[in-house]
Amino acid sequence: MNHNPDCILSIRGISKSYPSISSSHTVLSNLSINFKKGEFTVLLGPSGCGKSTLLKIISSMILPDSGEIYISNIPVHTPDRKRILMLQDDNQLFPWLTVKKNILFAVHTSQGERRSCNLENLLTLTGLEKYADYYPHQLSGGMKKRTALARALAGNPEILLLDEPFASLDEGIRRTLQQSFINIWKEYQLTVLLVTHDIREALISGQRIVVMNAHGTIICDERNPLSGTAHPQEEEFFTLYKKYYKLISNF
Amino acid sequence: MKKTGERTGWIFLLILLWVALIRIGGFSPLILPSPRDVLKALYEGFTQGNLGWQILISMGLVLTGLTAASVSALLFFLVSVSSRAGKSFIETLTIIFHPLAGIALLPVVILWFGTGALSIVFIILHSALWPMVTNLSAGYQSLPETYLMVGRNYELSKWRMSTKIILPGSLPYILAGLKISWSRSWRALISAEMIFGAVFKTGGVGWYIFSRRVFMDTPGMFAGITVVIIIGILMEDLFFGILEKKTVLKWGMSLES
Ligand SMILES: Nc1ncnc2c1ncn2[C@@H]1O[C@H](COP(=O)(O)OP(=O)(O)O)[C@@H](O)[C@H]1O
Ligand SMILES: [Mg+2]
Repeated sequence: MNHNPDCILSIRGISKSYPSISSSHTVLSNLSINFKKGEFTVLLGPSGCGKSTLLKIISSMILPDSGEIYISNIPVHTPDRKRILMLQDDNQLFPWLTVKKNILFAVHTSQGERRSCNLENLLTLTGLEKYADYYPHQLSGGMKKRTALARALAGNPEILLLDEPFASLDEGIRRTLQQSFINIWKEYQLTVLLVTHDIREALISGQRIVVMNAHGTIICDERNPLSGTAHPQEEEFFTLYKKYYKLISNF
Repeated sequence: MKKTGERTGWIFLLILLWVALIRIGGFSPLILPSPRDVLKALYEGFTQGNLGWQILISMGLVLTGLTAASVSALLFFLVSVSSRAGKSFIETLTIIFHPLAGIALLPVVILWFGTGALSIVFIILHSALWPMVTNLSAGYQSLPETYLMVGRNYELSKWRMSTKIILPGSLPYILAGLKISWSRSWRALISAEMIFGAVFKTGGVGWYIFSRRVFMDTPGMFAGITVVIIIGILMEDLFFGILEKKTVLKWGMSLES
């Protein structure tokens, strides 16, 4: 067993299948992986490989059929505010609360505030200053994602689990948001696990890239050679892009 | 406001038809009074009679019954979300009592509570409770799983989960339930008042209509019916209309959309 004190999140022998019409459909089988405190990991995999399922299991939203999730070497079975999950679903904002109040939901519900949440900061960061008093149904899909991200950050988690947070954003806002998110991650020493099917996103944001194939098996787990390089060489970028492309489409 | 204009137009047309019917049919005012007679009776009802007071009594009875029904519905709902057994118990109660018309209970209610205001409130409670319970649980079932996930993620207590997420999240269904409950209890109230007579000395609008019969005051009967209709329209279009505009419509949560 891994008792590395640096290891904040440990996934051990997770299996999960969903009941389906004919038999049961296995999504994850005997999956194990460790994450170090403060690490920014990107989990890259094709659509339907079980990324969202894995994040829901890590946050204890759903329970695995077998295996355990350990936080700082303690097994956990119910959700808590230390592990905040930003869902992939558009339906995660409360329609009866404005953007501002949706974000503050994460703060108001905490017993003792650990970090005073700077609402103005979060709104600026996510480019939502002008929309603070809008209701979710008045926002575009991308703006909803940004609100959900702001809320997740306002909750001040130790581990941030992000399910395709930058998907469906315009290219411009996506780039600035990705960059500012990296700054936040550094500033608050968050442990981040970001899930995506977008190779480019994995290459520009993660310190570590974990690749999952269509059967939910981890087939590659390595340092991102481009980590920390703001403007990578085009050639290097495309070599890596092709490599990961082959990995996720080969099954 | 377009809706209000259309509604007024149709009502105006219906009044024209009414006048035309009298002209063509030559009915006696004792059978079918003219709108003018009815207006006059309405005016006299307020000035010489107790119609204003009677309206207040009716509204007071309905509000009391609806409040009692809301509180009970909330309790029933809490029981039904607290456990599997609670859920099936409340479902069974609903299946038994929901189809039972309030009027069918009258003889038993009179036996238990007499012929006073308490019996009327009980009939209203019965008429309003079951649609509320049904809609509350429909609202709960329609709640996206993701809202509850967010609540669990932020470690909300059961109480906060109910008040911060489940109740606002099911508001479209709660309002729909309230609307049905209101119209059912308003109907039940008017019928019950005719049977129970002069509760609180003067009785309510139902008793006003019924008592006109004794004097063969047909315009008076029509005046009473008009009051019942106007209150119905005001509640539907104004009260619920505004309530919806300030909540579910503003939040994009309307069931129709
Ligand atoms: N609640 C569910 N019931 C049944 N099957 C599900 C459920 N959620 C996901 N699945 C199935 O599990 C597989 C993995 O889904 P998901 O974790 O959402 O993948 P990803 O996020 O990588 O696209 C898919 O085949 C999906 O259809
Ligand atoms: Mg997914």
